[in-house]
Amino acid sequence: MIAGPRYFAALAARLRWDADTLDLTADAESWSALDPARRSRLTVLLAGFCIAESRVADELAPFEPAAKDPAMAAVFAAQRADERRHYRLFDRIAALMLGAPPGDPGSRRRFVRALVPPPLLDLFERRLPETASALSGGRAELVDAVALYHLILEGVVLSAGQHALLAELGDGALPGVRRGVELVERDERWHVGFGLRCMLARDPGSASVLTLLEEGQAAIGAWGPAVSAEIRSRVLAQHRRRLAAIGLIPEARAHATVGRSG
Amino acid sequence: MAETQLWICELCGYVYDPAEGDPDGDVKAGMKFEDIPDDWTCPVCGANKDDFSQQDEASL
Repeated sequence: MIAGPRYFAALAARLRWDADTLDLTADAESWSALDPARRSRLTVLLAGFCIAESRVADELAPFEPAAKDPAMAAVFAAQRADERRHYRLFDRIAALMLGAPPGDPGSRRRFVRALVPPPLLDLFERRLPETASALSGGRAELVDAVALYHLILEGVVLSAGQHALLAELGDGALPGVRRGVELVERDERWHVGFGLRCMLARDPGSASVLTLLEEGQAAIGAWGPAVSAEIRSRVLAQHRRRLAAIGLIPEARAHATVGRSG
Repeated sequence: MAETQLWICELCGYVYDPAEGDPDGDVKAGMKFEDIPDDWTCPVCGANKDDFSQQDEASL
């Protein structure tokens, strides 16, 4: 079972935070002294999040009217506020640490884009906008858009990136960035939970759910070597487990899938 | 009839219902939340048992 939209609306209000007040001064000062290989991995991850969060914030817009239920639409609006906050954080990081130019965000995005692996760009700059456009134009159902956005992009791809960032920063390096990623990760947990709620409300059917397992497997590699094999395995296991826990896939099938990929 | 004690993950909204358990997490149907092993994690988001709180169904 998953809580209803009223619960998520209250949760979103309770967890709100300000991306402009996180102190990144020490992070900016220590960035250039990091080991080059570590800085390279962090660059890919932070740049990836900068682009991803800018896209998810924009492309969530058609989900609100598609929800029909005003309570669900309100939660999509709250989620969109979160995504804009996340983008603000990673835009600040890009300006302070990744060498992105000051001035307008568009220039910074173009700079940062060159640092992002092409498979990740494909997910967030082609697949997501195509799906959102199809939703807006009545050519896709909300459940299909939620499956991609909440379960694959947030539940698998961004989750893997968050785990990788937190692992890289576990020794106390870049404390402001680490705190920001912790807050982003905390938000994403309820986003994924709400996505599951949306899936249940629309009864997706077994064929599309099994596709979710395959899609997760395909998407997890979008970060390239910046995300370790151990983290990929852990995130995919969580993906399978959450689908099974809500009854979207039979537990026996989940176990069999885990066995094959373990 | 005793009321079912529901427990909600405060991070993701997953609701543990003892009537269903969490078979994929090795928690059989019928197990009370208090009796679930301490190393069990939320099947949706991986949170710990400490992140759960009791809820009545009406508030969900």
